[in-house]
Amino acid sequence: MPTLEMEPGNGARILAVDDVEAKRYAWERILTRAGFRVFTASTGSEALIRSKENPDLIILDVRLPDIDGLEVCRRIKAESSTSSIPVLHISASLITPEDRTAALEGGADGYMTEPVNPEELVASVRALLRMRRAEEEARKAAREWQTTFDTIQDGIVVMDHQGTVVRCNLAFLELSGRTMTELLGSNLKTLLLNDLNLESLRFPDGTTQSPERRTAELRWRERWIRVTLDPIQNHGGLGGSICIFSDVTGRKLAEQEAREGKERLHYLNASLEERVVERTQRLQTVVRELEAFTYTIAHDLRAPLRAIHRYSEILVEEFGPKLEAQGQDHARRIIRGAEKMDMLIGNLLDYSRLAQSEINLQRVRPSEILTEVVPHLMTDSSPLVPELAVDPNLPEVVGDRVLLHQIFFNLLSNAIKFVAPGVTPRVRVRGERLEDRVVLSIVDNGIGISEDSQSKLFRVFERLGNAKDYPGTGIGLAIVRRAVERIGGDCGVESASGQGSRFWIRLPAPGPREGDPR
Amino acid sequence: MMPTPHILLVEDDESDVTFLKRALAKVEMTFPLDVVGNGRLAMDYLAGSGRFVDRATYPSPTHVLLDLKLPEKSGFEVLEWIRGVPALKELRVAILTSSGEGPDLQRAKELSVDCYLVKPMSFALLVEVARGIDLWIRTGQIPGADPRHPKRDLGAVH
Repeated sequence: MPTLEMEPGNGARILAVDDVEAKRYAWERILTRAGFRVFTASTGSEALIRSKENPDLIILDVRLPDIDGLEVCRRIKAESSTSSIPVLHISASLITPEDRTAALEGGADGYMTEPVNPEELVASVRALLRMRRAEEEARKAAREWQTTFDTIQDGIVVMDHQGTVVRCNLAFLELSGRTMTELLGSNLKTLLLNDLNLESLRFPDGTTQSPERRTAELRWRERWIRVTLDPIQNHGGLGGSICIFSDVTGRKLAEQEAREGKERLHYLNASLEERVVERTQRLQTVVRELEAFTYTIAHDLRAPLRAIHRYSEILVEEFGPKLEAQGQDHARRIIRGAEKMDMLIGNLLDYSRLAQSEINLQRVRPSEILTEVVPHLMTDSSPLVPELAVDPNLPEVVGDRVLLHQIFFNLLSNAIKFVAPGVTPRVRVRGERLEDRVVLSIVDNGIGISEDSQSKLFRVFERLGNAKDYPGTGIGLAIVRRAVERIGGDCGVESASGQGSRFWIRLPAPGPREGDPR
Repeated sequence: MMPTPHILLVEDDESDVTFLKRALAKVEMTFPLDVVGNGRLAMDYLAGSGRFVDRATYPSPTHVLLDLKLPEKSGFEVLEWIRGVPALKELRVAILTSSGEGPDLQRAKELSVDCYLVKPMSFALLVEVARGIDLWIRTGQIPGADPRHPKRDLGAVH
């Protein structure tokens, strides 16, 4: 039978049940030739057992010796693991329509009456198998679709043309807090009336329906929900809608944060400017206060000092004889104390003013400044006249004349002051240009400075010599350093105890002479 | 003909008043000298107002020795006021101050004071300042700012 062979059975497994061996043989032969694999059972109970072996189809004789074929079919259909197996009943020729109806109602999928034409049998088997496959695929598709539907994070509701819920997914159940029973068959808009105002979306009401997608972003309790309503197109009529509820809370919050961040940034920018202005003003106030403070020190602190000094002078001058030697000595000590304090005040003022005063950088000949400074060097503390040698042609520097004056005055004063008792101070000033810098050195034959002390030397109030032998305020070198730094240079010392010292300052060198430098 | 000099010293520190008078006596300055202790009184005196109405008792000064740091009105306030009064155009003004602060010196120059004198520490040097003041009043010759360094501008050396 070529037609049977042309459509092979694809190896589908068929259970053939008949108590008559000849018939079992016939079914087996016909079906095997058609490409099926066949196994058999001869009784109802055997059929029930073998039905568990997952046949794709069962051919079942209605009349069986132990259990009736209709009952076997009913049990197969009742058992969940076998319920989807198609059953084809075959019965004897003389059968009433009632029997036939009973068989089909018992769950049989097909019914044939003997004598059975082999081609018809194969065709029927194939038809039933196709049906089963289609059913399985439909079930699978339905399962897949339902799984997909329920896995989607957005809530989805399918409505008919009147807005009645036909179907919805798990996400929507969670979102709405309703049960499937509540939802199915209800009008969605009415049901959610208290939660959401869906008016703007124009839900289907049985008479009209928006022909295109409509969306709205709505607040639903603590969340933001974007509701999308899509019509289902149905030829010429109202086909219903699909409504999708997407949670956009995260995005909304991010937007809100971004908006707030922007506002905050704006505020910060504005307040930053305010704060800069405010702090500048505060700083200016502090500077003014500091200036006032300095001014007060300069004027008020000195007034009583002058009185002390002058009354002591008058005491010595006019009442000297009455004071006797010891009294005169005391009065002179008072005078020296006042002088020292005056010097201290002066130096402190110099030092504090160094930070504030305006400077005027210009090309300066160091020798000119030295000529100005030398007459003012204090020499009264030593009876020996210092020897000062200034190299001719000291290179020019860039500096402020007032600051340079202070620098040289302090360095030379130190150089002269710190000599061992009985030694004539010898000081030499030399200079050399190194690329864009000029190094000026003041070399002395003084008592020298130990390596430990050298690092402390340029700080305020660091005194190295003892106060009795070498009077001073301890500010001189701090003034030098601050002044040099303001000009844009640096300074240092090379020395060893008992070896004399070389103090050096390194200053900017002027450019080629043409026009005014700086 | 120059009017007979009459000096107004504006100074709140009594010791400073005493010493300056003493120093001026030492250099034998003989011109009359009146003293007021604050800036407000100085303005009253110069204007001939308040208790200085009687010019017979309080004649118009020809020279003012002006401290800068004063109660009521500061030396600079007095000076600015003087520069705004046409009747005081001929008045000679010397600043007599405690320190050679750069900004003060600058401001005094801007207000075109006749001389700027620093109060020295010692009485001996104050006598030199007094000598300068006497010379200035008698001849108009301007004394050096700082008696220690008569040729130097202050602000520079300390």
